[in-house]
Amino acid sequence: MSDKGISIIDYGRGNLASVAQAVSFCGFAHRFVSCGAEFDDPSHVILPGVGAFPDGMKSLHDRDLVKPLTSFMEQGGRLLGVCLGMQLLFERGYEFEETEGLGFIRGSVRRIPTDTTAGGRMRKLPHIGWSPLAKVGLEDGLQMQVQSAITEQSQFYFVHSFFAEDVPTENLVAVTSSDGVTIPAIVARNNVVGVQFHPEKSGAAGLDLLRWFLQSQ
Amino acid sequence: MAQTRLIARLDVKGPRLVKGIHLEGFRFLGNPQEYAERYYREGIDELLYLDAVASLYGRESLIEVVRNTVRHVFVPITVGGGVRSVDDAAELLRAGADKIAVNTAAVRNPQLISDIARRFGSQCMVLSVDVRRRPTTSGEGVAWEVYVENGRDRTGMDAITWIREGIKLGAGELLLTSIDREGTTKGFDIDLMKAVSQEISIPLIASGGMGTSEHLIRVVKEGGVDAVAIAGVLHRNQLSLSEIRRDAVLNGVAVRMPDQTM
Repeated sequence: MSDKGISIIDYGRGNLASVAQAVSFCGFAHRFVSCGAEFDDPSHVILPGVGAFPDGMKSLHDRDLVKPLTSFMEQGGRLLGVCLGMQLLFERGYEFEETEGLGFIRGSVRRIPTDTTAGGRMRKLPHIGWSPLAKVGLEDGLQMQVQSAITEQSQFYFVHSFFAEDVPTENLVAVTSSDGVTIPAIVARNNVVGVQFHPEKSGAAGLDLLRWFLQSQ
Repeated sequence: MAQTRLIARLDVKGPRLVKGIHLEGFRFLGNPQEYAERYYREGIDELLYLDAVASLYGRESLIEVVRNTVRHVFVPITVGGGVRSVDDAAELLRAGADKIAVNTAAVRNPQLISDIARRFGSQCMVLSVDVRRRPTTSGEGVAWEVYVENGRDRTGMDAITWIREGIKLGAGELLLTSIDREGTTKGFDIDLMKAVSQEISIPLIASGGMGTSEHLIRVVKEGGVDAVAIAGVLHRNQLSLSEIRRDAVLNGVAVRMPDQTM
């Protein structure tokens, strides 16, 4: 295993403590990276995040993190985007105003629709709670590897009001459904994995996925 | 049907877990972290820590409890009790909380709800509302009045009116406690939950009154709630989570069946 280390991106968005605790619990050391200058050839990167898309992107830009993150991903670096961190991987988001994302995976981030559900009841937002995942696609490589890290009995904790749309099938690893809407739960491209749920808050199943990522070579 | 979330509610006084009736008369039960870890191992969906004293001394202990809990517990934790400012919220989030519950301070300064929601996101901002039944002005039907300061002070405000305002200001979830039912183990205030769930578009957590699985089944089916907070019956080992889950599922209430390994 590389000793270049695990970096957790601190861009002022989200509860770093939870992610850090989970990484520690899995037995890995980590360091926080809060600006481009501190980005120093890590073996693995975790991009966490809770909050709004435009705000998140602005913070990444202000901290000179966009270029290092993009280069890292393009060169095959292993990155795990969590919740907002996953959403920022896409081309654009439509929260408040249209904002360009990191553009590593094709697709857009939009608000989960709140029109009535089949039962005539308004869909509640945020989407909060545990959901099982359905594995999709039969691609080789990373998709299959990620899928081996989860079971279809496991459930993961979601809390979000926005979701990814128009994701190419080759980047879709697993989905969940909430009140009639299909939500991309795990996406992947190259060695980059994005999860809409919070693995650091999903009990044993989440820790297993996190461990899989941290151990991946 | 969406799964109903099971949330363990732990009222904390200083460093200790407590339990009262109608939000007062606390008995000391022990170390909150131990209870939290047990519930985590037994597959609880979320934890809720509420500081019952909400004094400055109480906050330091609460922060310590949160910090120690997140070392071993990896499910969402909501923390509240005496949160008066965005800085208070930030401090609890830094300690490891995922969501912040605000009650009295929101009533005194409703802008706090927007401030917290804007800074940390609506999903972090749980509006906690404690209510008691009261007669309506017309004499027909039932209404509820909002109480603050851990159930001690009346506000004269109608619960549904306040809840609507709180949601407009950016609350992402509603923790609704019936003071009348709290600690009695005689069941939830179904009328309350039904009246509120019909009005709101954010998730509703019912609190106050859980005594049997039947109470949970009723409050979900008739009250339309999204989550249920359980305190005394769990702390006193009168009901187990696996019993509650089994009874729920056998009666048409979907709940998460956790992984075997923990």
